[in-house]
Order: sequence, then C-alpha cells, then structure tokens
Amino acid sequence: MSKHVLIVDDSASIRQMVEATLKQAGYQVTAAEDGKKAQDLCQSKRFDFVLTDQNMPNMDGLTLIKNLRGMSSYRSTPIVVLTTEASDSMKAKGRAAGATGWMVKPFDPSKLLDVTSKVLK
Amino acid sequence: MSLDMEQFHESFFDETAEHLDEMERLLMALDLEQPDAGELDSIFRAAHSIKGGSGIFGFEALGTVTHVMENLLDRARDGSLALSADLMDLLLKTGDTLRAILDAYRNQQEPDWDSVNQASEALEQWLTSQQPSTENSGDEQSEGYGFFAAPAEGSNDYEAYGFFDETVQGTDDDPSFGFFEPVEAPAEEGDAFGFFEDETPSSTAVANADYINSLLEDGTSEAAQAQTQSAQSANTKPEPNDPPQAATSGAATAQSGKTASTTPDTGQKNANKDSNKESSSIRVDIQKVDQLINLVGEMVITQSMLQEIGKQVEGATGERLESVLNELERNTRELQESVMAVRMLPISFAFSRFPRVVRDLSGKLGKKVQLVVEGGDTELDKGLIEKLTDPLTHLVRNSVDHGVESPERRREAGKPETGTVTLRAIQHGGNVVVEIVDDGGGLNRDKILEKAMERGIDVPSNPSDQAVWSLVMEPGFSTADAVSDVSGRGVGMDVVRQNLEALGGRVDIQSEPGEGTSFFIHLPLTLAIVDGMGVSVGNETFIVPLVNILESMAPESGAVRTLGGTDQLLAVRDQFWPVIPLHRVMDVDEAQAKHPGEGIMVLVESGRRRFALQVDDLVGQQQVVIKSLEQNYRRVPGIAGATIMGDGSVALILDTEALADLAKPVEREEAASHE
Repeated sequence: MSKHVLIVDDSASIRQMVEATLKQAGYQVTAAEDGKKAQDLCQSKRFDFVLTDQNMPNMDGLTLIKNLRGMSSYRSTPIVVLTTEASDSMKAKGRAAGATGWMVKPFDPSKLLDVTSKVLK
Repeated sequence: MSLDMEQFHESFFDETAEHLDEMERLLMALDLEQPDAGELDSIFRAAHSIKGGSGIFGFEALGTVTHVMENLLDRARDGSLALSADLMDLLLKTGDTLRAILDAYRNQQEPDWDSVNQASEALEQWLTSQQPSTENSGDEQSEGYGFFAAPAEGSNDYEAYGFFDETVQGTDDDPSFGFFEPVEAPAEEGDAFGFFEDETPSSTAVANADYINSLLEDGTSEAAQAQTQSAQSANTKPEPNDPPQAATSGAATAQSGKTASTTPDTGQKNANKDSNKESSSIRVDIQKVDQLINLVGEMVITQSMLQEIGKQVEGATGERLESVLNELERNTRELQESVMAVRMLPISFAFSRFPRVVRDLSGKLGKKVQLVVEGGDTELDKGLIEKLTDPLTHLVRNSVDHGVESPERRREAGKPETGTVTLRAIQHGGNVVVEIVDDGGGLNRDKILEKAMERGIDVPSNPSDQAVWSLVMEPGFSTADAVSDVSGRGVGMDVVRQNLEALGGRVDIQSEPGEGTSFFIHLPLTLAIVDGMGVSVGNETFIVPLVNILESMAPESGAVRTLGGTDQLLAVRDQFWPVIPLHRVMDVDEAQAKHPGEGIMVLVESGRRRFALQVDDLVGQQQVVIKSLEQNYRRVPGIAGATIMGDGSVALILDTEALADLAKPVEREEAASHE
C-alpha cells in the first residue's frame, strides 16, 4: 500500500506540480486548496504525510497544523509547512504550531521527493 | 527527475492573471481612509501567491517584482505604511507591468527587464521614502511595529530571496527545508519527532546562523500584526455585509451586482468566492467546446429533417412517431441551449477593466468621473466578449474625454462636479444591449453638421437628430486634429462601428443637449446561432437576422412610389424607406412579388441605413446555426453565411450591412427628390 500524501495549497499550479511529482514517484496524493478543506479531509481519512502551504484563504497552514495536532489520529503524522521565508520567527511559529518541519518555496521536484522520502522513511 | 514542469505553466499563468485581476479590483475598491483588513490581506496574498509560484516555475521577473510588492503590501496591511492615491497608482501601474511580464512569458519571450527593474525600483523607492515617517510611527506604537520600519527588515527579506537562488543551485544540505526538534512538540509522543532528530543538527545550525540576522524578526512583530488585524476586523464587524458596496467608487459598483448574486451574505466573500470558483469550475480547451457546438448544430439539422420525414408517415405509427419526434425536438433544443451556455461568460469579464480605464483617464484629463456598472451578470458568448472589449474601451474613453465636461463647466451648468458614465448590459430575448451613457454636455447638432460638410460627408438636408448623431460614426468624420491624444489613438468612431457591425451588432446614439449622450450597442448573444426571420423569394428562402428587423408589413396600395423608373420608396407613417427588392439583388427570376407594392415589406435597420426589403412572404421566425460560406465556398456579397433548414435545403443568411450599401444610391435620390 503506497503512502498517502495530502498537499494543501491555494495555488492550483503548485498543487498540480506536487501531485504529479509525488504520483510519478509512486505515492498516493490528495490535494486541498485551503486549510479548512484539508481539515475536513483529514477528519474522514488518514494521510501519512501532510504538506501544507502557510498563507491561504479560509484557514492558514499553521492553524491547520494546530487543529490537526488536536486530533488523535494526527498527533504524530509528519506535517511539513511550506513557506516563502525560512526566518526564525516563521520557524518558531511552525514549531509552536506542531509542524514536523518546513520547506522553503520555491522548491523543485527533487527537493520535494527528498523531503517526502525522508519524512516517510 | 524527469517531470515536465511546462505542463503546469498554463495553470500558473491562468491563476496569475486571476490574481492580478483580483488585485486590481481590490485596489480600486479600497477605501484609503478606512481600509478593510481582509481586503488588504487578499491583495497581499495575491502578490504573495504570484511570487511563490513564479519561483517554483522559474519566472524570475515576476518573482522579482512581486517580491518588492509583497514587502510594500505587507507594511501596508500592518499599518506601518500610509495608503494614498499615489501609492494606489504605483501599485496599479506595477500590476500593469506584471501583466506585461506575464504576457511575455506566456508567449515564451524574455520579459522586458528594463521595465522589470524600473518597477521594482519604483516600489523600493517608495519603501525607502516612507522609511522616516514609519520609523516614527513605529516608535510611537511601541515594540510591535518598530521592527517593520527598521532597515534590517529590507535586508532580511533580500536574504530570504537570495535563499531561493541557493535552492535553485541545489546545494544538498541547504537550509531550504528542515525538521524541528521535538522540544516543543505538543504531544507527549515525542518519539515520532525524534525520528527526524538525525536531520536536525544541520538545520539547527543554519537556523542559528539565521538567528543572528533576524534576531528581532520573531513572534513579537507578527503577533502584533495579527493583533492589529483582528482589531481592525473587529472594528469593521458591525458592517460585515459587502463593505465595497458602501464605498462609492466605480469599482465597487462594478462588482456589487456580481458578488451580490454569488455570495450574498458572507463577510469573507473574497476568500469564499475564490475557493468556490476553484472547486466548481474546470478549464476546458475552447476548441473542444466549439467542436461540441458544431456537432450539436449538425444534430439540430438532422432532427429537423427527421421531423419533416415524420410528417409524411400516417396512421397510428405516424402519431407515435410524431410524439417521439416532438420529444426529440425538445431535448435537442435543450441540449443546444446547454452547450451554447458553456461558451457564455458574464459580460463583467469585459466590464472589469473599465473602472481602471475611467480612473486613469479622468485623472489625466483633470475631470471627476464616476463609473457605474450595471448588468455585469448578463451573459454573452466568449468570442463576442473578447471582440467587444476594444470597441467598448473606445466608447468609454470617448464618453470620459468628449462626453463629460470639466468640473468647472459642470458647476457652471448647475450639475454635480463629478460626472457619471454608466455602463449597462441588458438582455432582450436573443439580443444583448450594451449602453454607454454619460451625463455630459451632449452632442452639438450644428457643430456636427458643420464638420461633416467640412469633411465632405454626404448630409441629407434637414436630417433627423438620429441621422446627425450617426454622422459621428461616419468614416472620415473624426480626424487627427479633432481627436485628442486620449481617446483618439488613431482609431476613429467609424472603426468602432465597423468592428461592432462585424460582430452582427449595430450602434444607436441618443443625445440631449446638456443632459448627455448614450450609445446603445445591440448585439446577438452568440456568433454561432442567429435568431432569424425566414423570408421566401420564389423557391428560395433567406434568413434576415432578427436584430435588424423593425417590423414587417403588407404595404397599403399607393404606399410605394416609384422614382426615376426603377427606384422605389415606401411610405410608412410619414417616413420614406428606400425599397430593396430582394429578388433583384439576389437574382431570383421566379419571384412572385416583382412589382412595386407586391408581397411583404420587411423594414430593416442596419447600423448605417434603414430600408424596406421586398420579399414574397414570411416563412417564420427561427434560430439557425450559422455555417460560414467563406470557409466552405467563398465570400458572396450581401450574404453573411448559410444555414440548413429543416427540409434539408440550404438558406442564405442576409448580410444587412452589405444590403444597406446596395440601398445607398436610392437613398441619395430620395434626399434629392424630397428637398
């Protein structure tokens, strides 16, 4: 059974890119366009890895992470937050929200696969 | 890694264009005195999203400009940068530059780096020029804001941007991602995080290095920012329903109709609207849609043929066949309507640019003009909307430039200083009427006549107002010295009319001195189907587009007079209409109504002229699918296209504009003989 990844980003092109990259590498991928939709998906499904953008309408990535960490089935799921700035403030906030790690945007497919295989190994 | 990134470019371009449109719309609607926090946030997010995507897909110029823009917007939304009309101008201009860059990338060209650099520099200059004042405000507002004004902020961001370059180079242990130590993990199951502990040393090291640079760039500032935002949204809460509607700017009005109908009761309408759009729509190649429309068109024809054959079957089988065929007809019609609806877009797609056009132009001319947009929901064929944009732009510019008077003159005339230009779309049956109405000084009859004479344009003596106004759109009327650099652009009103007529439309003008001028554009809903009246001449059937028909009548005896042997005039309620016998123009020998006064007169109004078309009889009104003659045969004068009738025969669709030209010589004689 291949691992199931959830990508959360409000940009369709980035969702498509992540989806295609990971699918090509043999992962199962589901995409959501904001935190709210992602949270709904997580309530009915268990993903092995959540990759979420930070800045999104409706519900941002950090709120999503906080909410997911409040759900028993997601307490230890790897969640990586996508961010445009790898500043310490962002890292502090990411950590406080309960993220497993961060990945800077822009990223390329190989970086994405690298991170994914690391968290899922 | 062999993933073709290009496959996502189209999607990125589309969403970038949407972000830019959204940004412009929001900027235009922004209340500078009391900006809405949610809207500022949306504007920021638009720039932010473009920046993010352009990095991933390698569109560096977009990233460069949006990066600086994002910095500026970030400070605008946290309140450390004052909003002003000048800043809005700068941001709107930057949006234009971004659009140009996007176009270049779309066309696989290198963007104009000069303009890229100019745009970023202009934004940076703004940032630096605002520095002193914001430093003050930062001090005053204590800890939370001081940071944003600090010069360190700019340099930090540059590092964040430089970061990206490193990523592109693909250094292996670069800090572009990392994993947190389990220190502050919320759950006790630290084990899960410990899993990544072997990763953390490298990233922590980098994090520490970063820390020196951005010691202050911590929760404090952003927390304060979050506070301000929530405070701001709390302030605006009493009126959460559609804040832009409260604003009086044209852009707000432009959108109100649309937003009201889509999300009538949400405060967070922008966010909601965006997500709705994304989840409930798909992008389809327009060619696929056209193919579908073509096939359905063929099916409509086959269905009418079946119906004809069905009529010949008698008895019980015939009755059953008839009821089934009727059902088929109904389904086919609904199928056709549904498929056509796929190509239909709300006309707001064409209208959305005008708040900006009016704003820029009125500023340039020193006029105060408010744009009111109504009926943005009205749907039109996509192709028509695209072709409509240019002529509409010209007419709107014309209204602002020549229609609305200067504030001084308006005051003297006892009008409000701010003029109003109204852009309105209304659907009438199978047609859409787009109106461009100004409350300016109106057209000057004498001046127009004088100028027409000067230019050597034929002017009927004692012409009706209607005839005088239409002179404005005569070729050669507006010439270089008459057209200001603003609305001129080398294109005259005659070109506007030609373009609209090429779309199957026509233009009417109404004007009242001192009250204003209105342009009415009558358009078909689609280019693929025309509502037509079938007319017969001999054994032939022709289709006259319904949009051009005023009325049809059997002339009373004596209503038709003959002039000079061949030319005829039809008298209808004190007006004379030149008669075009269709059988003569189309060379149909076996026509029944060959003599003056026989048959039926169809009163046709084309953009340029009115005339009466003499035919044998009316066959009936119907929707016909237009087949291009040019593509399948060749261009025929007086014919706009062909269609296939229910009995399988071909009917030609008349080009009323071309027929009007045939009527021209007659009209001149009319003018001469009725002086």
